[in-house]
Amino acid sequence: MNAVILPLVNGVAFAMLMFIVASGLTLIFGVMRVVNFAHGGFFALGAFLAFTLAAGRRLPFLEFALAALAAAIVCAFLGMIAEVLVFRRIYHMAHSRALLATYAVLLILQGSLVLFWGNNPRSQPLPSDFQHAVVILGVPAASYNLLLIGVGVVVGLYLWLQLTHTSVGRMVRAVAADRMMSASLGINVGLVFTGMFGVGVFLAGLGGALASPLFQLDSSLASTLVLESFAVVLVGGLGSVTGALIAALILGLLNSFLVAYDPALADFSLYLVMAGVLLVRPTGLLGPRVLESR
Amino acid sequence: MATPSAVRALSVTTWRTSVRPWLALLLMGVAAFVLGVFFFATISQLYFWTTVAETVLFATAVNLLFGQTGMLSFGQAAYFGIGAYAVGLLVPRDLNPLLMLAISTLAGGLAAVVVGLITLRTTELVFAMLTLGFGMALYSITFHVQAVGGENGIVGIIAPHLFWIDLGDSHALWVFTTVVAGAGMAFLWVVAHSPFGRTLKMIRDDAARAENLGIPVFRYRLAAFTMSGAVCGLAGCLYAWAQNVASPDALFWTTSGTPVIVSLLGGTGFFFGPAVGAIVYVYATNTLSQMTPAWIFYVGVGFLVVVLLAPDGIVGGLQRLWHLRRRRRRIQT
Repeated sequence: MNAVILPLVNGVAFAMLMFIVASGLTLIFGVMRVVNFAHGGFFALGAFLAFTLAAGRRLPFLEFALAALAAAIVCAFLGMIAEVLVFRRIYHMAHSRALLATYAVLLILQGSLVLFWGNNPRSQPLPSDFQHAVVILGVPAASYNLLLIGVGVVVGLYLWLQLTHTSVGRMVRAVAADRMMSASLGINVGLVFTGMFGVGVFLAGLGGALASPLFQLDSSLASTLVLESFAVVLVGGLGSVTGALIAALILGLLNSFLVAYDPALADFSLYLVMAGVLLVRPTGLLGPRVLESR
Repeated sequence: MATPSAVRALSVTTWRTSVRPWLALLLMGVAAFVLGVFFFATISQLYFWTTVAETVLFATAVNLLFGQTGMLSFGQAAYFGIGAYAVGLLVPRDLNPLLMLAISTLAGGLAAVVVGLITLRTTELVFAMLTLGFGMALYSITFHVQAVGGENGIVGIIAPHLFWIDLGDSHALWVFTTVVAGAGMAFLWVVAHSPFGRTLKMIRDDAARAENLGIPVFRYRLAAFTMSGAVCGLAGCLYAWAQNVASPDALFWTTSGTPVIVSLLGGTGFFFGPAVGAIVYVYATNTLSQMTPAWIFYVGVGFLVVVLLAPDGIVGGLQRLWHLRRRRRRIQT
């Protein structure tokens, strides 16, 4: 039992963390058609902001949640500023050049982490209500992982409801499908872009804040975990939130079961699965039928 | 993507009248510079210029893909790193350095053929991501496998003797590095200006039209990817000798970003753009990293400005200034 339940819980928890970050990435791609390397920068920024707002202390859950939420909101605001100042200018560019502009923003964010927090790694303790293990079917599992699963489910449900059952969601889907037509129908496309960028970056910041007790906080955080969410987004299909959820579960579970046997294989398998899926289906599991060719 | 006028095809007459004299002048200038550094530079300056030489070669090889063929690979560090690790693994064999260079080049090229066969059939974005993925897969292997030194990499790589010359001496290594890098650059120059290179530009500008004209686009792209990978392997070999180490960092995906930054900085539309970019980039990062630990912030700002405001880089900017001056002069007379 132990060998199955524990990797299962850990895997789903890791999957949900990846899903939260990746759903932001996939939303930004779906609406703006930009692959955003800077996402990793906002993820790391969320983690550092949560650390600062919590003052690096062990807080009760409610206060930690407030700190995490505040960190994500600050990220969202910074993201919207970045959208207006930078990203707006790159939507019309060729994919590769736009990619490089977002890479530049990633470097800027990574540099600002060093600028504000220095080079010493920091660590954020788990919230006091979630530092203990919970026994599931006789196996002790980390309760913080259950919290991650809960937040992931809430985020997923909320995004699904928002996108499919509200007028705002309809507007967003319209802009994603055809921006020219949406603009001529009176939708403020620029506002939708800024707003969706804010939502996407909010999710990156939230993921970072939730991940802050799990990782050593240093500036390399900006360029490591983002690759996993890239893999999730590509495997799931660029622009598809449901695809991101499925891909996150596949990759998360694969990762956690392999970590139990051989950590080297765990990292490697991520890229192997990504390459395999993209070769068979270049648009990912649930991506659009055809990607714009070069 | 806009095409600067400097990348137009080279005819025999322009070669005789305008290119050859400039190239001869450039070669003499570089030779004088190499000797000047050899005789007058301090050890730290030697180290700096050796790094510049490798970066020039690495960036020019990447630009064969990015600037000339229009393919953004985010995984060229893989071939660079393979070159470095090949040297590292061959240290105990104590081979002739020329043979080691050949092995590194071959290893980089072979790896590129395999990855190219798999990744080149996809679209622009997926290609960038897949090359990144393959590079990172290699990174995670070297990071975890103790046979290649794990996360520390292979340390203590010292260039062996070339016949009677000890390349472990940094003066000798400097001259050797520039000669090898020069040979690599000459190869890339010939490729870039050959009918093959011109076809690559055509594919970059309109792949569908090239395909319809009967050009086997996939094979051309694969050939360009392989050549780029091979020269990246060569640059990696030089890097390992200069740094005395082959570490997983050389394979990390941000290492792949550097030559792209360098190319854009100098101007991707010009053969010597990446070279100019490399000098400016290595100088700037060297100076900045001594002043502040957050140097990467300023690199990011500079890079963003180039991408947004100066798409044809330093060389393109200079060329525009030059044309502006000539036009003014023409108006005055």
